[in-house]
Formats: sequence, C-alpha cells, structure tokens
Amino acid sequence: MTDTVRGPFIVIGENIHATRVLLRNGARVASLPDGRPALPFIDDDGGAQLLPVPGTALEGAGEKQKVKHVKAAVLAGLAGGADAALGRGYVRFLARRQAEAGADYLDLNVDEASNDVDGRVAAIRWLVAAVEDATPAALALDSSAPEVLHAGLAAAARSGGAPLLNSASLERLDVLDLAAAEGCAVVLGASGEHGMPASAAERVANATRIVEEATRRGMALSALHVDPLVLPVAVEPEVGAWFLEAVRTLRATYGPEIHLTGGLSNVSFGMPLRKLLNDVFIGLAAEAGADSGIIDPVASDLRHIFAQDREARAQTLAANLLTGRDPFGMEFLTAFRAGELA
Amino acid sequence: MADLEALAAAIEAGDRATAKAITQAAVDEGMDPTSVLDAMTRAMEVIGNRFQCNEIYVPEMLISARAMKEATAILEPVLTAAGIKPEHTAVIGTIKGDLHDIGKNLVAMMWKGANIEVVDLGTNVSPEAFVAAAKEHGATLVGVSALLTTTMVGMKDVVAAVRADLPGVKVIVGGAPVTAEYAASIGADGYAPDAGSAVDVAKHAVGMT
Repeated sequence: MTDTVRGPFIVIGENIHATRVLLRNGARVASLPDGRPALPFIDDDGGAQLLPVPGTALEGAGEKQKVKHVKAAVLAGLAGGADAALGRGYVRFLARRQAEAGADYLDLNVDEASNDVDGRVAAIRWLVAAVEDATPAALALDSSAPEVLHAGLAAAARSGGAPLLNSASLERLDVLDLAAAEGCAVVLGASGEHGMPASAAERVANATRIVEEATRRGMALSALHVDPLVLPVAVEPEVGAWFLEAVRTLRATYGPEIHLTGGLSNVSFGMPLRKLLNDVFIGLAAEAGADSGIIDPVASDLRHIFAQDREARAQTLAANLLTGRDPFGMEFLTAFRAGELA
Repeated sequence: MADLEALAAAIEAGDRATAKAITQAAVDEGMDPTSVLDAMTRAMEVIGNRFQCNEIYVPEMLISARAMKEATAILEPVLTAAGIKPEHTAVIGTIKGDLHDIGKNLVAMMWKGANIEVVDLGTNVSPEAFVAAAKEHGATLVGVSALLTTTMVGMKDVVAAVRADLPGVKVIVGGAPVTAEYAASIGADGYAPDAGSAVDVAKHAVGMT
C-alpha cells in the first residue's frame, strides 16, 4: 500500500492479463537465433532466461506485430514440455515486478488465453499455481466467466489471504454469492442490469443497490471494492467527472470502511499520452475518496503520482480533459501536437 | 457556388457550423445532392485513414462524424425527394450478454460516414433479433461487437442464424477480444480491428468501391 494524503491506497495490479501486448520490435521482446520472438526475464534464482513465443500468441505482422506476452507464458505452461518451466518463470517474474512496484493484489485474467471455457479454466488453474507463492501479494481473480472464478478459487492455496473476486454487478449476483460463501473480498461494478450508467446519479444508484445486496449476504463494507465505472473521456466527455462525483458521494454515504476503486486506465482510451492522463486521473480519484485502484503500478508509480506538480501545464490540461472542462480534448490535443505536453 | 472543398475541410476539422452553412448553401443553389454527399463521404474516408495511422484520435473522429451527421440532416430532404438512398444498409449491435457499446457506436458512426444506412440495435442483441432486423430493413451487412470473451462465443450463433435465413448477407465482427483468426474460425465475412478499418472491411465484404 502506498500512503496518500488521505490514507493508504490499495493497488490491484492489473498487468497479468492474457490480453496484454508488447511490440515485437520493442525493448521487452528479443529474438532467438532462428529469428523467432522470445521474452527475456529473470528467473527465481536471478538467472537471465528467454521464453520462446508460440505463433498463437502473435498478433498482426510486420512493423506493427505484437506479442501477447502473458498469453505466451500461459500457453507454454499449459503445453507442458521444455518451455513450461520458462512460462512459469516468466509469470513469476511479472508478479515480482508488480509486487515490488507496490501491488497489493495481483489481478489475474486469462479470458483471452482460450476461446472455450475449459481452456480458460485450465489456464487459471495453472496461473494461480504458478504465481501465488512468488510474492507476498494476494491474488485477484478477474473473469467474466463464473467457472473461471470458481476454478481459480479452488486452485488457490490462499497463502496471501483469500483472493479478491473481480467482479460482481447487478447482472452478476452469482459472483456476490460466491464471494460471501468463500469469505472473499469482491469488486462491485456499478453497471445496471440493462446497460452502462450514463450519469453520476445512476452510478451511485446502482452502487447503492449492489452494496445492499452484499450487506444482505452478510458481507462487511471492508470486503467491498465498489467500482463506479470508468469509461473513456474520448467518447463521453463527462464520464470522468461522473466517476469522481460518484466516488465523493459514495465516500460521504458509506464512510471510511468501504473501498472505492476503478479500472482507472480506461479513462485514457483513444487518446495520446495515456500515462500522463492515467497518472493525473489516479491523483484525482484518490483526492475524491478512492482508496483502491485497478492499475499497473509498474507504469504508474504512486509515490510519483501523489507528489506530482498539479499546477504544471500538462497536468492542468490533463485534469481539464478528465473532468469535462475540455470537451473532446481539443485544447489537450492542440497542446499535444504543439509538443507542449512532453 | 457552394465550395465542396471547403465542406470537406470543415468535416475533417469537425467544424459543424461551417459544414452546415455550406450544405445549406448547396441546397439553396439546387446543387446535385450526390456531389455534396460524396464530398462529405470522402472527408470521412480521410478521417478514417488518419485514425488508422494514429494521426488523429477518437474525439476528433467523433466530432467529424457529428459535423457530417448535422450537415447530412440538411441534405436529407433533397436526397429523399430525388429518390437517392444509400446503396447498403447495415444492422449493428453488441452480442447477447454484452453491454459494452463504445466500439459498436464508433463503427456505426464511421459506417454512416461512408454512406451506409445504419440501424443500431443497441446492446445485448440475440441472433434472432439480428436476423429479424436485417430482414425488416433489407440489410446487406450485419455488424456484431463483443468486449468480453465470454460473450464473444455467441458470435458464431449470429453467423449461423444469418447463413440459415439470409444468404448473401455479410457478417462483420469486431471488439477487443476478437481476432482475425477467431473471425475466420466462425465463418464471419470480415473482421475489423478498429472503427477506422471497419469501413474498408464492410465495403470489401459487400463489393462497394
């Protein structure tokens, strides 16, 4: 946990996801002597290793080719054989990086490791076993499939405590039942039964209903991480302001026990300078009363974020965009193109 | 005479006041509405290409599309009176069980910009609803979006339902978890990785030039 001015901030480290990509030509992808891509990492004993990337973990071709690096490790692990230990070593390396950067939870998501449920169930079992004892951090199981959450829970030794389940919502109350039965903390999304909330009030209303559902199941407020939903400001200029207002209202309503969180990096989708926007938004969220975030602590250093100069031009323009004061980012994009935000 | 180059530039810049003024002038002058529409469609094509090259960002694509939408509304009565209709109609929606509609909305917007009539079925659309709407509107294209791997699997049911009932209708799929390989494996007619390329993919699928 990293201390903010308001208190501790819980980091749900979001980067052990099968969706994650690296550029083939980027610094984190090397080549084997035969030209195949490989992922360099440091193993448990401090040795430099290379994980060969299977073709099924590549996306696109040429200059823009990407490597789905977590998927590569999961596939290597599941395939068995010579590369299985390398796959395991690679995800343990990622876990250590997340924990060393401040992750309190390691958010594991294998939904894109396989197109069928059996494949995803096998993948989460393997991944839980591979990373659980690599760091002191607890696990967060992140899936849109209940079967995957069940399988992940069954595989967990719970050495770092019961896993956090990510996530339940009004349309997925079964996950809430599972969390209550298993003694897990849970992320509660504020989506409604029929769609995404289109205002701060709707976020608060949905959140209030799902918190009631959790309380009715005997769960303590301290086991709840309520996510009022972060969506891209590139598409809906008010959405950052809605999130922040919902956080302020929920904090005022429920007091200090409940956790308020969000997939904070969603806010910057479709814009340039995503790291700047993410970092400023994390600061704004914490200030509004969020004490938890589904973020990548390797990319977003909280100590740096909470100490950033809020008056600097880049931070000011980012905050304007994120709070709806620069609709469609015209000012932000103009400054970006003029090289004023670098 | 209304300056269609300036109209295209206004659409590209997302300047809706200018775009509407020039369109109104063109209508008042009795200019051929097809040429006015073509100027706007070409501008949106430029926007789509720039987006694919990361030269512009999502909000800029959005304001260009909005400028075109408002200008097209002025042109609409003239087009209707002349019996000019888009050559192709698409029905679009997110897959059953999926409420995430950002990608779908962007694609719908860009298809409209390419002068494809778009019927937006919203979110959580069943295979039967896709087929029924495609029939009702005489669609040649069905666009299906998914953000979750758990819902993505329902795309093959949409493809199957369209194949069974509507031979010749093309199914385009997209969304974060969808890949070209997956699209091919379920027999979809096209896969669009983003809203910019969705136009080219749709045009290619129905043989538009």
